[in-house]
Amino acid sequence: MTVLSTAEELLPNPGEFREVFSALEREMGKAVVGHQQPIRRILIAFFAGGHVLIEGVPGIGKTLMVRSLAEALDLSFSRIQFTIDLMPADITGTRILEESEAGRRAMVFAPGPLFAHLVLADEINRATPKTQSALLEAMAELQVTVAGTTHPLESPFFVLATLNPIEMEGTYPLPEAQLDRFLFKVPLAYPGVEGLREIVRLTTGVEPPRITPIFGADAARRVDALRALVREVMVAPQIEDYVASLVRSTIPEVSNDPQIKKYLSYGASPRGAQALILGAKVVALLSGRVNVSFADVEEIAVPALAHRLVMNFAAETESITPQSIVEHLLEVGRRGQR
Amino acid sequence: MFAGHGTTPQIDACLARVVRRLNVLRLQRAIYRIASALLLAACVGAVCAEWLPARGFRAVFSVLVIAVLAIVAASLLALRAGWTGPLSAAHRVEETMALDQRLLTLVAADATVRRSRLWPELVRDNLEHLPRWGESRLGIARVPGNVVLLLLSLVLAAFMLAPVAQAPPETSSDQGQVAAQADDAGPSEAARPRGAEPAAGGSAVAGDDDLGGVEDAERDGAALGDRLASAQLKLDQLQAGLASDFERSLAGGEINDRLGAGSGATHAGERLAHRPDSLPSSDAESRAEAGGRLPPEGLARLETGSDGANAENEESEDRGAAATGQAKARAETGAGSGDRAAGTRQAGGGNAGAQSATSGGGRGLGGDSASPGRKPGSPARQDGARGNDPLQSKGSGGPGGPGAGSGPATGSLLAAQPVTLMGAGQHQSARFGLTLGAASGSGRDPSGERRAEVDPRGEIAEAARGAQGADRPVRHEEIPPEYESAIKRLFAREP
Repeated sequence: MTVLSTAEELLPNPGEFREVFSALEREMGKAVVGHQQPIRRILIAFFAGGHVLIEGVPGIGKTLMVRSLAEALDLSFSRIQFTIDLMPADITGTRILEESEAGRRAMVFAPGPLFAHLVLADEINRATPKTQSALLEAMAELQVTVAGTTHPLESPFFVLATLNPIEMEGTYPLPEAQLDRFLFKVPLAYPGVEGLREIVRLTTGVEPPRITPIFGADAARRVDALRALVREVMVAPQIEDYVASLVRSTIPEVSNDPQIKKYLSYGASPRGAQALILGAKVVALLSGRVNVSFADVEEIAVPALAHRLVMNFAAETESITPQSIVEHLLEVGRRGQR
Repeated sequence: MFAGHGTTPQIDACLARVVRRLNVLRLQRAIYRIASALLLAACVGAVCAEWLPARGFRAVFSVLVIAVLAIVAASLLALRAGWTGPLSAAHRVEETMALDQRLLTLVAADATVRRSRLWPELVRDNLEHLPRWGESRLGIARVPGNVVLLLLSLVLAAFMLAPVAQAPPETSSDQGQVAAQADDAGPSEAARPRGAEPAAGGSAVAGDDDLGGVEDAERDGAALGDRLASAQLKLDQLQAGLASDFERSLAGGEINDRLGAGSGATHAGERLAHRPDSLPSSDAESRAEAGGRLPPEGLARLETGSDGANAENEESEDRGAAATGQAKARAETGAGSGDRAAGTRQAGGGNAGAQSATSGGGRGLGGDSASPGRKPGSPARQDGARGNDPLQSKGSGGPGGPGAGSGPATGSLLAAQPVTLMGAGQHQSARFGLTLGAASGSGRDPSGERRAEVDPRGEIAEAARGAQGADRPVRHEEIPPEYESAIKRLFAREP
């Protein structure tokens, strides 16, 4: 709360927000080649206050992307390599017996790797559901409870998890509750020829790319201020209605769309609507507006909703993807719901 | 008033203008729709009033009233439901000008939104974009598209309703026309001796019309005084002659004898279409005596024109036979065996003689005989031999066919009178009543004996004689009850 108050005092204007955002894109682009759109979406989720799930094959630059962001923001960064034997306490921290200089022994809390501004949960699907669930409270409430004691996380807190779509043996697909905590799911595709050439050129040269922090010492406060600015963006009731109807239409039980009824088992939760609005606000600021438009919602609809849709067997057999379902709903929305 | 009202007077004013345009357009649309519905309903009502019987008209009228009320109610409800407010106007602006919901957010902003620190930024942003749409009409039409429907309805109503609304009473129109015709005829024709031409049954009618027309013309100005005086003189003579002719025609067999002898084996159509100048003088005279006299040619011709509309409306089937009857009459004068075709033509020949400008005979009694002739089972249609009947021939409107008051003008008058008679289970028109009251009385009764049985004719003649002297009152009076009883008795004897 204190941080938010400070952020409100330092509330930047939309122009400054766009400058920071562009600078971040530029700095990250120095290290990560060929992923402009994923970088943009990751930054949108970051300023919207959400977390991102990145799905991509190994070696495609997922870890580099998170590391670059941390360096550009000059924020604390931790990496957790999820494995099958990873325990929750390994993430959240645990109480240990510590002896003071005076010889007194006491149980003290040793923070885990979650206590950082930026957390990379690498290959999160390789940990057990129990360990995966250890992230739930941290991602949703920015706090960790260990042994009955709640420990707040420092803002900004940003989790960037990665999924390896191959090597599925010995993995544990993320439960729906865990997936719902992520604001966006960003797929990373293979880079093209131009991208590969640039990657080779940058990473095999004498001097590796150097990322310059865009903030000074008060980077965390500046980021919080920018996040507060995002929340100030105004939304017309008609757009709220549009978002609500869009999310509502993903629920098979209530949707009138035959495709939804045929291919979906479960639809998006209210977190989906929150993700749509928050992401649209960032997009609005990037567009030079202080109000959300329908186009803003549509731009981030797929990354905000696709991973929240639970497809059924019919969809898998017919190769129907969640992305195509969301795009179909957007098309329906363009025709009738405006 | 809307949530963001008062923040920016410029935007408020522009938005109010858009609201006004949209609402005016909706109002126009509703008004045009209602007006179109009313006009179309009036047109349909007029058509139904013209063609449907009273019961059918009442049913259609009820349906029309319900339909119009439904349309009016629906239009009003739609108008109320679609009444545009600032929010709808902002939506319209957004759709037209692609403002990315800037204006919509401003207009729809509630108190929570207005407390945002970015609210001034939103207002400034809207003011920057105001020139894009502030002066634009935003594609709002000045006139709704359904004005086409209204115009079509107006045109349709002008065609269908204006003649009905502007048309004076039929008799006065006829009188005016005939008066003008009398003026055109000139004193020379008016002064023509009456016996010089075969008389037409319609001459009496024409004379009466002329009288009324002259009276009207007298009121028009003194410039026409001389011509009117001569016309008046002529009309007086016509009336006097008509009275005498009528009286003679009511006398009975004399006219039958004359006509029967004069025509020999007459083809009915021939008599109908005979031009007076093509007849032998003796025959013409006899017809003149029997049926009255023809008016001067000009008068008769014009009278025909004035009554043409009536003839066309009422006896369209006779028109086709008119030319045939006339042509055939010219070719077969004195011949004819009374075949079925002749009888048919006879039925139409009355109007043939009346409608033909060249016949000069005016509207004969036969024009009225066509009505019974049209009736199923009537002698004129079913028995061609009756075409030989002298009386029927005369009654069929030969060139000199008598029958005062039996012209189409009279027919139209009678059609307006509720004197439709039901005799012997058959529908008899009022026209037949006057035919009966006139000389023929019998286009359907070829034998003298049977005609002798028509006793009511004496009563009719007795009652009509005095009225025929003035003719006009007769034509404007309703048929007295004693006439109806006489006519009913007459029809009761019909086979």
